[in-house]
Amino acid sequence: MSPAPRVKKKRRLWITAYAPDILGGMDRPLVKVLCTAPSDLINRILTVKGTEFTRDFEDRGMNLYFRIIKVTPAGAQTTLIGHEYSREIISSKVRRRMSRVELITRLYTKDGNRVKVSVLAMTAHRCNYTHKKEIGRILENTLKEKAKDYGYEEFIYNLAIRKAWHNEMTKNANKIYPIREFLVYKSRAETVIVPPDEIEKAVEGEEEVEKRAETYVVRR
Amino acid sequence: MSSSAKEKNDPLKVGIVYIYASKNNTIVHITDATGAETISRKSAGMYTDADRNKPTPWVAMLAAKAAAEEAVNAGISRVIVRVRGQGGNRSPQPNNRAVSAAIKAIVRAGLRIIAIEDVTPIPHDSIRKPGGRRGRRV
Repeated sequence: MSPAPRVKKKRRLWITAYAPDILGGMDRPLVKVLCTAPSDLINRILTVKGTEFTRDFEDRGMNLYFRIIKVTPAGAQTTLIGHEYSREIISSKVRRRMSRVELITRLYTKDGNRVKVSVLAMTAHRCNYTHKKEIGRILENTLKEKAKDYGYEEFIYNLAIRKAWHNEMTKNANKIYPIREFLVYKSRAETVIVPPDEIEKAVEGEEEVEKRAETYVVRR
Repeated sequence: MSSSAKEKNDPLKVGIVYIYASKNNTIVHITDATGAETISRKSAGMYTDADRNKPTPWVAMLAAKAAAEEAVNAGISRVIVRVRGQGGNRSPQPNNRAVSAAIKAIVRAGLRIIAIEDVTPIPHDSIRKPGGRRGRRV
């Protein structure tokens, strides 16, 4: 008779991740995240739907990305590192007999971080190559100016959630050629990451975190 | 069980369901919101002996049901569904019959769906599809 199969048990923790200060801080829990040890959570990226922070129906197709940068007994602290629209939203903008102006650029914010921004502008009719080039240049200059005044988190918040500069950018681009559709479809703070040697420092009171967290035992 | 699971489970416990539906098999993989911790992973091949049944909606449903029940027991209440087909230089279409059966099973297990996304890897530029100029000759 063969021996009874061994049941493997693994204890895992549910830790609450909170929004960054710009979106409500510790008053605004985002999701609960699973981990085996609190230090595993550092540098993980969370996905949250855009409609949780905006009332725009189009934002149902937007994912917001948050990176966990610190774990304390109260929960995991995150920072906003970017956003992305789904494939369906982008392809719904693209039509026949229009020109697609696409700008993919890297900008440096006030705090020295690099943010990659992707912009899509659809013109009302087919336009010339020089029009496209000029529209791209205008959009890039506007974004560069704005990036100088803000940190990476504020910049992404204004760009993705508040859509604070959309009117200004379309207004400037309209002088060259009429714009029908405009979307900042992707952004990502590329340099925001906790370095490997600082991961231990990013976890405060590891025993207390484990004590307070809800546990979940997996049997396999 | 489904209604009680909905009430019992914490709405902050969000999961991601990855459904890979190819023409040969269906794989259902449930993770937490970061995608880094696996909660459950089932494939259609685990629920049938005949290989020809692996891409069928019935077996996809069984796999999805088992995975979803495990997720409900772990405390998950809401999920984002990410569907993918084979992609690359092969078909960009997922096996839709298997996908819809799997999604139905997930809902019936008591999970609330936040969004359904297509994440099939579409190349902007790819290698040449095998088979030569005149296609595969069988």
